[in-house]
Amino acid sequence: MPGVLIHGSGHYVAGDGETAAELLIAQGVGLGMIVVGGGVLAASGASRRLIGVTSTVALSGVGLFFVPMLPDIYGAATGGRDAPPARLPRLTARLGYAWVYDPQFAYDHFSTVGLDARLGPVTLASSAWIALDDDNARLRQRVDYRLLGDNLGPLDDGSALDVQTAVTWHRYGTDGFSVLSGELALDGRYDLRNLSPTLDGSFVIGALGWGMEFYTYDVPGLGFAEDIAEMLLLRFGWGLYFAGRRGELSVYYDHRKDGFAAGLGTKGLGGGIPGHLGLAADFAIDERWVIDLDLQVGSAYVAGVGVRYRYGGL
Amino acid sequence: MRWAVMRWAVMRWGLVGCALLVVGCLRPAEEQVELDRSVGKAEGEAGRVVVADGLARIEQFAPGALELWVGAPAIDVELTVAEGAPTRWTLTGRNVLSDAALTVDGAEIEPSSRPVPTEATWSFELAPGDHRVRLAPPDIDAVGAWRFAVLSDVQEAIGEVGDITAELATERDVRFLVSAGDITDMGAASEYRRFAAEMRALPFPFYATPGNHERGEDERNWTRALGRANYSFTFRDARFSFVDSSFATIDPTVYGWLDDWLAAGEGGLHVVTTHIPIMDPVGLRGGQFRSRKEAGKLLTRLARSSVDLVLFGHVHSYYAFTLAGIPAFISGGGGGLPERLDGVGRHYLVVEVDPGEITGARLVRVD
Repeated sequence: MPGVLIHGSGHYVAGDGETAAELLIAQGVGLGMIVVGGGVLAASGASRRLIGVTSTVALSGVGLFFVPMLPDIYGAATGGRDAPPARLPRLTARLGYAWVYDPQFAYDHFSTVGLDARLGPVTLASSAWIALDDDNARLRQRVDYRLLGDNLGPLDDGSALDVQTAVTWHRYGTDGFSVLSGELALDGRYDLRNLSPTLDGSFVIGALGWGMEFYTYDVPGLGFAEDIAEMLLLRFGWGLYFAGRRGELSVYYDHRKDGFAAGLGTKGLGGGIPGHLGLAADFAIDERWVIDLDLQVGSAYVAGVGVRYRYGGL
Repeated sequence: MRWAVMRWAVMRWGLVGCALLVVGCLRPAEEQVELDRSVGKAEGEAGRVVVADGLARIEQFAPGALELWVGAPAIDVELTVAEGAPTRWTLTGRNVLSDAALTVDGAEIEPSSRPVPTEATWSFELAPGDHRVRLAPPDIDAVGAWRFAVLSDVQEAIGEVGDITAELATERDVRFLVSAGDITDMGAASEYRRFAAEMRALPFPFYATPGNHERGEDERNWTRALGRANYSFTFRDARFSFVDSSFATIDPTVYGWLDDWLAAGEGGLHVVTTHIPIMDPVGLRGGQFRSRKEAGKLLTRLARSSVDLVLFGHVHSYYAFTLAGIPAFISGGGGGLPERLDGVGRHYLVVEVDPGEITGARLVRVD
């Protein structure tokens, strides 16, 4: 299968040596980062003094190593598609449902709501997940500032770079604890049409940041934020736009382990290291209404579906 | 042509997606639960034997011979001798306390041989029928100060572990060694045999729960060598619970067992040992449970039950911290690839116990 093992080989077979070389270079850089970051990480015994750098380099390398496979297959198979990014509305209201199967927790069903507002370069995104069959609720407020790229309307190029901040409060009432977390991350998207016409209609995503969690236990004698834990925020993936500005689909890896999906459950030596995998899609029925889908696999299965209403800037 | 390739890719990725669902198994430790349930039971022409709570692995059960790998300071055995079986029996206990005494139907039996302090053989007469056998040290219910040691993460450094056991053997008043796992590098059967052989240099037994390195080869090897991965016992006024977190999670069934152990341990001293730190004090490293929400759930349970100490391995260094107000130690000083730039190196811990409380923990550097 061209592109699966040696990224760029799909384009090479299709006669596009330039794109093939760029994808292969990306894979090679990723491999180098895995070797260097992973090598130092292993040699240092995951030293507390180096782990922030070594794990970031190694995991980013994993992203660079694997992600080019997808655009290579896409470009070799389609030769590029005329599919611009979806419209970015001024306001989006969302109502949805999520099924979360986690054998460690009693909840299964959630109602989900959200409201996004784009105010110039700033995006405010509020969301809530409320369990329908358990005492569990997650509230999240995100504030993004767009450093690069447009933030409203029909775009020709979806490439963007945001500073993303978020505060999340997650209450596990049945289980007797809650977690308050704060995050700071750089979140980016790059439309691959800028790399090659054969990749038109697709994009890569990536985010890198840092978070802090504050655990409060419903236990007599213990106070607010009894335990404080840092977390590495790292995400990478690839996606494609649907034709006619109807939306997009993306697959991604997310290293965070504090959400509903948390980290993958794996057999063998590496348990606890990987984060979760996800697939997200949204599809516009018309100018106002959008259906979205979110699937995640980690230590739990998460499947969410929602309806969005868009207003302004379309 | 291109759409044919696309269809092929979609099919391929569909298969990859299915594979990920399998890889992303939600209960990776489920098989160990079934293995744990099987420990300490045997039936054959000699009769039937059941070790209470599975606290010993039956190495051999043949007419006139019972050999046990003992996984707790005291064990109770129900032995049913079959009609026609020999009446002369030998019981060999490995990994026993050096002063463990055997009683059969209430009568104490003197050991016929004790090649090393942690291995003994007793010979006695048993008529066909039901018998109660108990192996326990004289101080099993005593009150007073005592110590236990902690050693984890030996892995590939098994060749040098003799340095550590030599130092450990000189410790006074240590009744047993607790290990939070990674006693092998890949979990091979030969590695378990090697580790057990090295531990014969100690004058006291060891009790362990597996680490992720015990999951490299056939994961059943742990049970074949050492018995249960999840278990709990009492010694003097303290309860010790060993919980398998080798897959960075605890199986839901084990949470049920843990609830029972926590309830049984309330009001007394309770030490919980598990391999992977519930939370890594260095959060960016993430050498901890795969799910932070599971970590929160577990810590709440431990704190509500007033657990006195939690012990971890996995990280090859030494950390003293608290989790949900519970004192916690990471001690991964057995010699496996050490954490650098920490100034720790190979080490073990000696934990001091006085009635009802942990009074201290001493870090002993070996290098």
